[in-house]
Amino acid sequence: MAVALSLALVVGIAELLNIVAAERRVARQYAAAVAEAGNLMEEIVSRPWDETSAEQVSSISLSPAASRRLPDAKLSVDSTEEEDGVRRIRVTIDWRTPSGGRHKPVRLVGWKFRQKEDRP
Amino acid sequence: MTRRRGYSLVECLVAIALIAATFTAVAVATSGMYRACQRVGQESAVELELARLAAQLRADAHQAASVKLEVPADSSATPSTLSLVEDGGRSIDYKLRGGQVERVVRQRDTVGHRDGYRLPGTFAARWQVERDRPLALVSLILDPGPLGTSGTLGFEAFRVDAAVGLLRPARAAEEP
Repeated sequence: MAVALSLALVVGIAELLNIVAAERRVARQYAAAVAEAGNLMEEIVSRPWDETSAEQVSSISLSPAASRRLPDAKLSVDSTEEEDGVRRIRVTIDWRTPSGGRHKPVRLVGWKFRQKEDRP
Repeated sequence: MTRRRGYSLVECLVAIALIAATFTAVAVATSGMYRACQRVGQESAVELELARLAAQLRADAHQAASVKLEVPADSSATPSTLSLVEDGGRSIDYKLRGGQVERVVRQRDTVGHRDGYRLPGTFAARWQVERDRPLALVSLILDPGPLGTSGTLGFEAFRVDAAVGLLRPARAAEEP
């Protein structure tokens, strides 16, 4: 009886630690995805107007560091013309979690305004 | 018929061994949880510090009119400094000094404010400035140490990019 109780206790605690570690990994992956989305947005808004079209931004890829930290990550960058001289940029990143499912995507939206120097 | 009036020595020893094993398991588990808790606390503190630095660097870069980077030949003696200069004569210097980033806000030559951000463990920090675009892109890059991680903490490379002049007041006024 005592042996069974001891085993149950040890297995229970080990399982608890395992769950906490997995949650911690997911939290760190989430932080990495948020940081990557922020960096990509900064990179896009610093580009010339002509290089922020939907075709141009769709070729953007994740940094090697983010690809390492986010297993099976998928990046999607959309650029839509909201009105003349204003583009809405949306960066979406999702990845595979340690449990095997896909994490809820991280989305960041920004706007690019055409400047005087961008006009032909 | 003989009445049993206690426990045999073997029974007592088995009971003591089981109790000892239980206590040992609980002690090991508690110690592991304590160490894990400490590690998570340390990592959270570093992540918070880096997030604070990233937010501050972006806020300063977005308001700046220009950027200047000074990388000395001997970076161990003199820190490499990134200067963000705003339109009104205000400038903000970010100095990589040892294991921390020092931020100095100046109004012309007068220091108005100074604060610091501690970098994690054995990271090597460096600046990068890309000027081949309408808005210069400033990057603070933290590379992990020789072991690939920062000391006991499991951090990998960290990078924060910031577009210089994105929210500059003069630039906003020029918008079509």
